[in-house]
Amino acid sequence: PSHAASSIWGSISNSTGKGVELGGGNAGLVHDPVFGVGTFALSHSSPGGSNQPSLAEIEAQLMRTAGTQPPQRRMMSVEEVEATLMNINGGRPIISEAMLAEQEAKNGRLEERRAERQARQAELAKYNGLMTQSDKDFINRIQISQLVTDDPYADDFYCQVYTAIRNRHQQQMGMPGTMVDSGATDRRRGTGRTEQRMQQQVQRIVSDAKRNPKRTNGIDKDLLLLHSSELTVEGALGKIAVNSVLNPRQLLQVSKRGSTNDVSAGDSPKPSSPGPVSTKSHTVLRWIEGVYTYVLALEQKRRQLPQPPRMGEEELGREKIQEWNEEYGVLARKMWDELRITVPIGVVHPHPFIAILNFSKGKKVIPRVLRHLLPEQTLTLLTMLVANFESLNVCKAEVQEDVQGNQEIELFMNTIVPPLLGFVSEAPFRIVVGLLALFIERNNMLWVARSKPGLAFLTLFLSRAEILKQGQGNYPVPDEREIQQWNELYNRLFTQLQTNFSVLFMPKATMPEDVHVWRFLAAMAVGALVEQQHVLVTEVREKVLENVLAAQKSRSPAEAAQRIRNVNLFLHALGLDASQVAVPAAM
Amino acid sequence: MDDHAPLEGSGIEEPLDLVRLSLDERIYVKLRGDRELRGKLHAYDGHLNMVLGDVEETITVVDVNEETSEEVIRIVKRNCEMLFVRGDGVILSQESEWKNAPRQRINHSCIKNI
Repeated sequence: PSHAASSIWGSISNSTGKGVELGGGNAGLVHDPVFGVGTFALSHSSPGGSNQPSLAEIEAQLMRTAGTQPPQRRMMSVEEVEATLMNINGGRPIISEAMLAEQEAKNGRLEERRAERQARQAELAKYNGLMTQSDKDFINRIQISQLVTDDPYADDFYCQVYTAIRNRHQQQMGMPGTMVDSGATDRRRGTGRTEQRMQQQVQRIVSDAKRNPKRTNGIDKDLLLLHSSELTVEGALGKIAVNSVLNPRQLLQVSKRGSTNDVSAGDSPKPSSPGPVSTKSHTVLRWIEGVYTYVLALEQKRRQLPQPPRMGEEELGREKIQEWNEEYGVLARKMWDELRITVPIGVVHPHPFIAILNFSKGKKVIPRVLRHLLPEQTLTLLTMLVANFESLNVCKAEVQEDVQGNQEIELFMNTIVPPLLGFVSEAPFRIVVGLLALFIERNNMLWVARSKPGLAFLTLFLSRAEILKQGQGNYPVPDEREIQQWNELYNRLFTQLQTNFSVLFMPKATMPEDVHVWRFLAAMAVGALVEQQHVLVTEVREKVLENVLAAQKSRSPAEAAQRIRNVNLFLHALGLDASQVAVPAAM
Repeated sequence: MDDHAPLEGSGIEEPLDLVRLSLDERIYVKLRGDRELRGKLHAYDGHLNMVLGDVEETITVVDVNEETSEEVIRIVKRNCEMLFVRGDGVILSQESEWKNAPRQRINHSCIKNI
């Protein structure tokens, strides 16, 4: 028993042990009724109430708590030992001297650090309260008023567009709680609104100052100075140019020579540049830049809609709106002229409009242009495009290695086809017939059909005609004569493409990317007579089988599903399905 | 740049208009310090600061051998997706062919005919 007991004690205090002195008191061996002889040394008992009970006291407590324990100690479980140990000093923690010393040192350090921090704060705060809130607002007003703009899209373009794009991305990703605020981000929400308020304030102040130059105080005069580029000072004859942040002094004063307006005369054929490297045509590039200039001006005009008239000022309001409409119309007409769409065909090859479309910049500007065109103009644009389609640089068969060319084709499909698709989807039957007739008349259909853009347009016309024939469009069902015209056209197209349907597929059998070919075939099949359908099936049969087989053997289920989907586009138009295809065992 | 934009006519009115024509096209820029850039011009300004995309920088280094005083010409090439060039260092710019193909092509040699 004594061994067990001493082992317990041995763990809690390093100063216990057989015969070790404690506290410098009288050492001696004691005969202890419980723990036996010589188990520990006793120190003089500490005065009552001190935090450092002597071992004797601890022992005494233990004995008391132990209570009715028989002399032979049973082995205590770990929990019981812990519990006993916890209760030894009446629940108070037993603190040794070493521990106390540590504590004091730690406290000292903490206090040092606290004192340092306070001293630093005091230094910084020594000059607090020098400015009143109104002083601070005054300075803020001056600073922010310099940032205030009338037209953020003109003066702060990149920031606006960047936040717009980021908000759109966040919305697409489905970020919860994204605020689509054109003037602010999530963090800067507050400053965004303040800027708007500031802008209104400043505008009010500036207009008041202009109206009553005598009544304005010093501060508002400064604001007026900042936001005006000209000032009329009393006593001065005429206006004075004022240089401020928004209107800096020019280093050079260059006067622009008014160049002659040669828009209509600028149809000269592209002058070939002397260098062998450059295939750029400066003339066409100039036209494109002209279009961009007008598009930018129109977009800015759109943003500066005249305000709705206030009460009692309706006449003035109407005038302003009329003025705006006129200016807008002038710009739109100039843009239209710059596009060279109305240049007669045959004067120059390629047609100037086609030359514009051959550049990627030219393609990119078209969606923006279309927003400002009247429907008749859009139709004229489409007509011109269709009439000269085969001279487009993207109207050619896709070659896998030609990365640059493929990018241009993709660009065409993404920028020009969608808005025109929208237009054709609203067009009446006779227009569709007219466009397809022009298409077939003026272009080599086989050449056109081998290109992605060509197939896209063909599919577009064919499907729109079908929808209208079935009366599903917003227009009445076409009459006999129109349907007759259509059928003739269809037959012409069919005969031209006959025996070459399988050639439309690109020779890369590895990738199931010929969706557009299958879509075109489906559009053809829907409008075909029975014999024609037979022809289609016979010619394309190999391709169908090839795809079905590849889908069966394919390792990726996604690819297989894609192939089956493609093939079904065509088969469903014929009333068939891919599951009905029986693959001959010989393949 | 709208002050320089030819709003009324379609003539080129000042040299910067020529740079405007090269927007969104690949250009060749010669810089100070025997450097050249080939990239797509995204933006420029009156100082000829430029933002170029898909850029290949070519630095021509002349190492002089101390003992033999022989000059060895070395060419260092670097690529950048998007680059801002300070107009200060631009000597000239010119329209360029599509020599630096997008990343799909393999660069066959380091020293090309410039």
